[in-house]
Amino acid sequence: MRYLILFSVLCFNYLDSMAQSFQLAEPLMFSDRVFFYENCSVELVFEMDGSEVRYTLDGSEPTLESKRYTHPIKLKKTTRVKARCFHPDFLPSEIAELHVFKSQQIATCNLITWNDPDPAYEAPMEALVDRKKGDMNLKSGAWLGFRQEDFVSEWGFRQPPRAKYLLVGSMVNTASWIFPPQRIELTCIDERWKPFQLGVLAPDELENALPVYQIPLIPSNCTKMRLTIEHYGMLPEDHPGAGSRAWLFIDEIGLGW
Amino acid sequence: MKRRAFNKQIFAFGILAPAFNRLQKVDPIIGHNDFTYRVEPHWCKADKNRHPVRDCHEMVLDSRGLIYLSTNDVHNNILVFNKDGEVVDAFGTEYPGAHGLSLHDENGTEFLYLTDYERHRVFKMTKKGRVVQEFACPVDAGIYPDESAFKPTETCVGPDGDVYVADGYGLDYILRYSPDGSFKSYFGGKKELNNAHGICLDVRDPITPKLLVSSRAANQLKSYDLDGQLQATVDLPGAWMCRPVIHGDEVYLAVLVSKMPWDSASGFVCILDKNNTLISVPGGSKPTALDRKDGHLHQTVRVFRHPHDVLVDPNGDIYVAQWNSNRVYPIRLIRTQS
Repeated sequence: MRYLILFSVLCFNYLDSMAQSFQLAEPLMFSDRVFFYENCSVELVFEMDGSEVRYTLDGSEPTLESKRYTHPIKLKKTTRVKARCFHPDFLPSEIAELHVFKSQQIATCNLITWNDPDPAYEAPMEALVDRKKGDMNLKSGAWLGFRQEDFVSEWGFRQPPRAKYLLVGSMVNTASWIFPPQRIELTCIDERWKPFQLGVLAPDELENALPVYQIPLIPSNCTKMRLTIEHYGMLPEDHPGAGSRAWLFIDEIGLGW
Repeated sequence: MKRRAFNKQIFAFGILAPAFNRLQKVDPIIGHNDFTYRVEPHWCKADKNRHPVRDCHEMVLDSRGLIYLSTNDVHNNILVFNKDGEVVDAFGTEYPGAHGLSLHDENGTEFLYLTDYERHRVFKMTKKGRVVQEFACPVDAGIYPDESAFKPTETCVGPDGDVYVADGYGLDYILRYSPDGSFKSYFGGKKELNNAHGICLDVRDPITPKLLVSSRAANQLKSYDLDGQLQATVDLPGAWMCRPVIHGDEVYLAVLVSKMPWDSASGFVCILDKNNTLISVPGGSKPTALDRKDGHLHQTVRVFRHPHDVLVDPNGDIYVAQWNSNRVYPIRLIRTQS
């Protein structure tokens, strides 16, 4: 009897392992504005009957207990929205994320000096402060591409901006030779003091994406600053284009709250 | 009942109950309306060491029920399977860009048409791989700077025996050749087609046969008359579809990806009815997604990575070949009985 039970359990478990369990794809996430002054609206899309999308706004992982998405989400502060799909017949999806940023308006009139992008990807400087996030389309007019040098620019403000973060919108698409910056640094170059560092970040993610780097800034009364976005340099040795220089792509620079 | 035996039964039930419960679960079904499927990922019985594949590009079914698969693995550019997924033949070692594969019955003899975008040629061959004719770049037509700009992705044969070649990785022309191989005319091009990846003869209306051409990067399927006049355009936003395949009244399309970049593994399959209206999307959005303003198709279930072609057998089961998908063999979708 004992062996019969054991055999049955093994059989059932074997049959169970034969059952197929496919995973759901992630929900699509859209926002009317990634950079906003007052508010923005985030829409989640997953066109599958019987499924539901659940989301969180506090950075935690969405579970079946999280809030269920029914209509666009209105947001008033910088938020990382995480969403996930569920369906009784399939494994839950990976978590999709969308980060939206409350940011203050800066303009090209705040821009004192800069170096021009490569002519192949030469969006106007206005694109850097238009609060519009570019997509994976390199030629959409949102992107400034740099190949030979870092992006170095100086910014001046009448009043100290008092922002909590520097925001830098970028792209990583390794198949298209676009790599993250080595380092982003904001330095105070106000004549009243010796230059000092306001904030710095060294991104390390190589995953294909449209990251917005959020660099914490120290509080200061600085009104003139230098932003340096360091180019990745040569493509890595295991890259098909090894021996050539990578590309640096930027679509937005902002000051966030 | 002795206490000990009773405990044993409780114990056994405790283990078995969840197993019974799970057994009642049916396999997940994908697709919509009358076109729903159970997934059979391991239909193919090929041995990776003996018959390797890289990208699996396209498949055709011959009159004996054998399935021919084109792959850019030069160990065996064409693999032939029986319906049980066993390899029954393998040939071709000289086609590094083996891509489009079509089959045409010429007065009772079937021939394969294989395009090779790296060798800039289309090869007409017997079902054993003996080349009987080649179609090259029509350099004299004045539309190509040189032969290397010609990167054919697909072929179909018209009702009069003329051969239409889609230059989907080249200049997006559809080139028309006489059965003897001489170049006749062209249409399409980059102004009208964006990645003219596939073509097929559409005889669902037998009185006015047409050509269906996929404009993959535009997410469009275009219908032309046999002289290249555009008749209609079907928009499938989000669907980077490969070639159209007609089976019965329906058009079947493998969709490589639904979001950029190309390695996003976001593909699925689309099925259109006789009016070219979307009726089922195995692995993707419900067809009504396109009714929404700015609606577009997307992957919903991770069954596929990058579907590149579909073959439909007489039972309505679908075989799916995939590009850049970890060298997987084609998988089968078994049509469920409605």
